[in-house]
Amino acid sequence: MAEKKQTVILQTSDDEQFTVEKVVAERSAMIKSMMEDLGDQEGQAIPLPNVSSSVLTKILEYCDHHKTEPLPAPDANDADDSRRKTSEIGEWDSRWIQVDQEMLFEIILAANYLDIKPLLDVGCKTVANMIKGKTPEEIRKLFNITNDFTPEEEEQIRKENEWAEE
Amino acid sequence: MLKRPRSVSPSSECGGNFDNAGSLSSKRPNTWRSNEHGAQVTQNAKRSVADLFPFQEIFLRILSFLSPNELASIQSVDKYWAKMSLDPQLWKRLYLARYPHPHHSRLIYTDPQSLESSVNDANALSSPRTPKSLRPIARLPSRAFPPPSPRRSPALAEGQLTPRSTPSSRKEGTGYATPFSQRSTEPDVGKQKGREVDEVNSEVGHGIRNDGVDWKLMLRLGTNWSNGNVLSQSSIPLPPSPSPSISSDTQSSAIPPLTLSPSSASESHQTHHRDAGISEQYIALSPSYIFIASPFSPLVQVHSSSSTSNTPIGIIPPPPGWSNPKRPDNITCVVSDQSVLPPDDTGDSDSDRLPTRIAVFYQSGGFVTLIISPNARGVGITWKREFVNNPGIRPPSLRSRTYGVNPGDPVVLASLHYPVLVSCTKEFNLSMYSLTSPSQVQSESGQIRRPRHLQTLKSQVSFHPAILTLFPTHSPSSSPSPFSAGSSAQDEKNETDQFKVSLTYCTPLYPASWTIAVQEFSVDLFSNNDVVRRGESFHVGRNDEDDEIIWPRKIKPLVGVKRKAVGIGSDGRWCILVGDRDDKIQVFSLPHSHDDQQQAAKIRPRSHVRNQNEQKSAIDVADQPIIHSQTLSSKYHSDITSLALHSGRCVSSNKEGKLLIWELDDEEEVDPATTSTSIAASGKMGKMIGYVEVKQGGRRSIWRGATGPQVLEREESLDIEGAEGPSPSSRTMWPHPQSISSAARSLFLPRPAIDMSSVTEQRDRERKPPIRYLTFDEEKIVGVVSANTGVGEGNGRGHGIQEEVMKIWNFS
Repeated sequence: MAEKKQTVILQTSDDEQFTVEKVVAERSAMIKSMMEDLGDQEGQAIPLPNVSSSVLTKILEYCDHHKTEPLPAPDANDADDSRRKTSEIGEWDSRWIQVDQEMLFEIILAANYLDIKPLLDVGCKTVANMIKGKTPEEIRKLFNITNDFTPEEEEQIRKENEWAEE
Repeated sequence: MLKRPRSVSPSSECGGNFDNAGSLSSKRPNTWRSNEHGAQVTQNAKRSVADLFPFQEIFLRILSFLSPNELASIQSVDKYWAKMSLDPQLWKRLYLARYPHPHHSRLIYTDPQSLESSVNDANALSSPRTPKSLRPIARLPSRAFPPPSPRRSPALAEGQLTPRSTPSSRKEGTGYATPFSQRSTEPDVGKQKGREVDEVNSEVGHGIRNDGVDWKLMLRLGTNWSNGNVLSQSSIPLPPSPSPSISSDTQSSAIPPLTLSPSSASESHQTHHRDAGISEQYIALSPSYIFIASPFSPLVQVHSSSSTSNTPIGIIPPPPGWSNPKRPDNITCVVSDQSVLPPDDTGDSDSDRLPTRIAVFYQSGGFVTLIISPNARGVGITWKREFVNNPGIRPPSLRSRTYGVNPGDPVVLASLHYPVLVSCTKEFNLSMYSLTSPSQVQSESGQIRRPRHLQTLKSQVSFHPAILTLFPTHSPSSSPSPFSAGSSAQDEKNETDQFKVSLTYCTPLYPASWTIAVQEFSVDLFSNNDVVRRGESFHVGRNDEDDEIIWPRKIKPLVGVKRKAVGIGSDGRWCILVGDRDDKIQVFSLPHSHDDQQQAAKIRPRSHVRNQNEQKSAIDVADQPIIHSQTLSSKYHSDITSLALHSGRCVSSNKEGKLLIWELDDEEEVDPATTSTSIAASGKMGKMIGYVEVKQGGRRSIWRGATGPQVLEREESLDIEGAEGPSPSSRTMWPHPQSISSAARSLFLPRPAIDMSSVTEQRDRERKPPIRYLTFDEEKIVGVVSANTGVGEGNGRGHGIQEEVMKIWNFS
């Protein structure tokens, strides 16, 4: 039965229905396991109440581009550091992720919800790159964070971390 | 295939709390939505990336892409960032990435399950899996190890210790799945003094994310050691040794005071006169304390390893009746336990200080083991005698009828790894004791237990061993990979009942003077059936068939040192040897170490029938010689004055007062796959071992990223340091030994009494070296230093009386 059924219907939070290739949808471990749960109930839409249609469109674009890549093992241990040795993002991915902050926010949340590990990594790396190389003050400014340390506390933290400074 | 959406409407639900496991939430898609904490993200507000940060698990994933110094830097953004940046798992990953092949005894292994759970494993974050308690196998920096493990010490395990990180109270859905988790009510990072890292860590790393190790501290320590960056230096004046005249007065008593000079009895008197300025001291280190004893005193002084106070925080007297002013029962040896003693939780004491166990040997032949713990106020110590072996009591074993330990034959070497205690007397009576008494009664009853004597071995022909080491065998520590999941409960159990005793000798080697040899014993503490077996003895050889030392044969001489040895060290895998007036360190690799590693890699999980394995390994090893693997030389062509080796790390000091750190295992970081086998095959190091000089603010190299050190960078940095290439071994040592036989027996009476300049004719020509004695543990190096010359101030040509102080270089 699964062989015949090449598509799956996804229903977003704003009640959009997307008909998606199964290989594309399977990028999401969450959808994949849901499809397995639903079994052969054809035509049953998978509800994605956390994902809006605009975000899903964007994410499906990513999934479509990566659909030929091998899925990460379901229980892949993130301890394998090979993929995080570099904070570099693939060329296509980095172009794809060039979105405004709101969309980036939505993408990461949705990737987390849909359990698309590589996508989540792309998003998190993007945010990490925003943090990298910035002083705490710059970070505060960038993300509109109030400094709730007293100068003494700040000094103490600085001293404590002296060893890590370059 | 995509169906275009008809309209774009912002999803109001996105600010809600996602259950982090996708599969979980997918099955109950209606539950994820309700979370009042998410209310901050309003429907209308333009959301930005910053709104991600409250989602702790996503935030942690973001932070996991940062380097250590970036992670340290963002700690001062605000309190929430500080809390998140101190997450233990982030630092653990960085630590393991940077030190992928930690030294044998240095890494702490946790339960395999908790190793699997990593920063980004969403399932692990939310799963109700209970992390098993930590299994400490090494002496760790005290503060790296906040929650205690009850398993290690049977004596204390009965006390129902609960690790503070036990997540039993943790409910599903709390913890990291909760955004905005009471940000304002979390303890503020900066408010506590000193201990804040621990406090925050235990706060942040609740549940599965805290495996009980302050990984950030571990990384900081490792970095500081790698950089030679000593964070603080302090000096503690040594208690003055009584003048020789006083000590000679006591000779009228029945038991002559022990003269620990490494020369014969007649010489020793001169030695003491000459060394009036030198304070002979025994120094034992534990994570929290430094124990100092003088051979002319029955008291042990206890110093806190962190404080800079000159006054001891405690003094431990001998048991009542042992010593009196007329006839002091002076100390001949102090050792601290190598195993980890979990804190006594009931005391609710300063968690900065771990309790520790020491063994103190007295001149009368008696010894005591004590448990030292911080007292309730956290300033001083309380000590409790645990086992007392009365002097002069013959051990109740069959063999002891022949080889009793004579009173007056003082213990000069000892090693303690609970529950085994090994001691070696001046007359070479090697005694082994078990500290597990048959009845595991709590000693609170006031009943002081007597150690169970296992065996005493006697040798009248051998040279006195220079080093006595004791370590557990087949512990999980021998596993080459921290991720090997094979460590089983059996291993854990057996970890405590199989030990190896290794005696390292200096042996005369004709014609190259002196080299090393190792004799091993195994101690198995099976229930009611303790076995002490003689193991293999190893000699230096070459790795071909020609390793027979037959003279005169025209073969390349074996590596040794001229003159006598100034320093010798062994950690079970490496032996190091330095000769008098020599500026090079000879490194030998012991054969069994690699064998152990390979074995550990191959057969795992290991059957608990140990004997087979052991015999097999013994056979494998029997033919293998000790192989000279490297000659270490620094840019300072300055004679090495003292030396210490521990867990593959070697610390040396030279006449200029420079303190150098050598990581003998460093090459493993380069190519673990090939080197471990090639070393086993050839015994040769792949490359030059680098060193760093200990100095404040030392920076050998900048962070090398999470990928571990790069070979190239390492070599560059060595150039910067001015290190030399591999020293040419062309300088063949071919002197004729001077009076080997007469000197041999007395030369290697052990530390710290080894007066590094005790060659008599030397005494007028040369001053004593600036650093005369060295020992170190994970956190600090402790040396006996000539005070008025100071370290790094040249040739030590000071004037006046050279008082010696104990100097502590602290890396944490």
